[in-house]
Amino acid sequence: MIKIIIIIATFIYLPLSVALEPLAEEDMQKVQGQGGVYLSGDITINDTGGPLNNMADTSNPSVWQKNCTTTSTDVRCGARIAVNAGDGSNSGWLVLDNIRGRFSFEGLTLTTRTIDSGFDGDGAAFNNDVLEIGLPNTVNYGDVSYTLANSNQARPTDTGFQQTDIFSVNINGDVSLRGNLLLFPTGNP
Amino acid sequence: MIPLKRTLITCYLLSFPFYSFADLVSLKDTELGNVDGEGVGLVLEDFVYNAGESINGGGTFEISGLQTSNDEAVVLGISQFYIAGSGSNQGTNVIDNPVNIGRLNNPFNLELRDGNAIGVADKAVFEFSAPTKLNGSRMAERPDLGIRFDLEIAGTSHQSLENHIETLSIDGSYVRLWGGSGHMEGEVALNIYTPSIEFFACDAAGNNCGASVDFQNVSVEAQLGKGEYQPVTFEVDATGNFIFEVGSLEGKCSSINGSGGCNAGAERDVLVDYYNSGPATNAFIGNVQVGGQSFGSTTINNLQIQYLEVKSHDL
Repeated sequence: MIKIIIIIATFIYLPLSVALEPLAEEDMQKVQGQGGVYLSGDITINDTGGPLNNMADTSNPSVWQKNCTTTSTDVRCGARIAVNAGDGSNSGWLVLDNIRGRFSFEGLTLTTRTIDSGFDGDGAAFNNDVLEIGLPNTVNYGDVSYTLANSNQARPTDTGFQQTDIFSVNINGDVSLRGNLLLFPTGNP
Repeated sequence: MIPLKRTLITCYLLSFPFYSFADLVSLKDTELGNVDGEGVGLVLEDFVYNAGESINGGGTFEISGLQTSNDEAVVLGISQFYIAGSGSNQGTNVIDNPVNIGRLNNPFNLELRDGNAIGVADKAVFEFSAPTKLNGSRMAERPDLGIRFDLEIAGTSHQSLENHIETLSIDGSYVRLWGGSGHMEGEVALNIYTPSIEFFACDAAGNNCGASVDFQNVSVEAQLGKGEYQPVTFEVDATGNFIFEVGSLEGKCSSINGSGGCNAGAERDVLVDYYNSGPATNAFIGNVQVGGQSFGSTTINNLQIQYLEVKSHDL
């Protein structure tokens, strides 16, 4: 009976006790980070609808009711980012307005990498790890537009709304964006 | 027999937690000392940007919102906007001509700085800085960039304008931002070094280009604002117009003597320091060449902006 218990107990606990040993420095160095992340993306922003609902219709207040085709100039169409950098009630808003369109890309990569060579000799001295964001060679813009503007109100539905559009940008087609963005900690405490 | 069995089982059970904790080793001081993370460095490796209506199989890239004096819509159609390595030959050699921007030991840098060291008392200051001038970007790390755009008025393409900048370096530039009393304040330094900034115009199809205006060997070092003493502010007023302001020096001295000067004291010392070593703008243009004719060099030294307000007005 004791023999059986000892054998069973040994088989149960022995593998655990071996597995939980700390890795030696040499063993750790053999561990390699595998792969990374490869992303493809396709995002459409406010192509046919605006984020601000029409509050006038009290019977149906909380749905997005605006029909925002690409030719629509309705102020409620397109996303809006309003930033206030001034003094309270005496100030207005810097606005990125009417943000809409489709962005798509194939092959944005995210990985870590050790740089210890190259870069005209800087690599060997650097000898450190970086986070590498591999840019996706081509980004396709589908009727992407936005307007830079100044406004006296955060929302176009606010009372007394006034806005001065500075310029609008409209992009449709492919843009080449190649290379890697490297991120790493800098400086000494 | 039974006590022995129990003892053995108990021993095994007791030994289990001991092994579980074997891998939780505390960090030593020396190991922690290697973690510094003062900021985040950014370097672009083998970078190329190329966009526009006349490349990548066409498309639309337009800036609109401008008007002529006759209320006709003016649209700037961007034929090409590129950032590439040096030797881009005015945008013709872009895709196979990548460039590293920033150096691993001197990168673009994002960080939060201690305001006490840079004239902003007891506040954290956000800073985005280009590589420093010391140990700065080498020629191979300075990109070419340029833009070609067509001027369309009321739907008709009238003229094509081009601007090309060769091997540009902005080493030493930075933007610092902090929260003032209820609004955002900042300080800006912009350095531009390039052997050539060239402008010229062509016909509507981008051919038959006219004579160019070429600014050669350009160095501009512009500083705006000095910490909290003279902050730069970016605001939009209550009527929806943009205001860019560099703080005034007026009233910085409260003790004025009979001849209108500032009496000796701490306030005067700060002003003297401001005039001697405060923010200043220096510019040097080695040569301006218009249609092959040299106009000679231009130098602007120690231009100090002591108050500036730029305000937009709706027409």
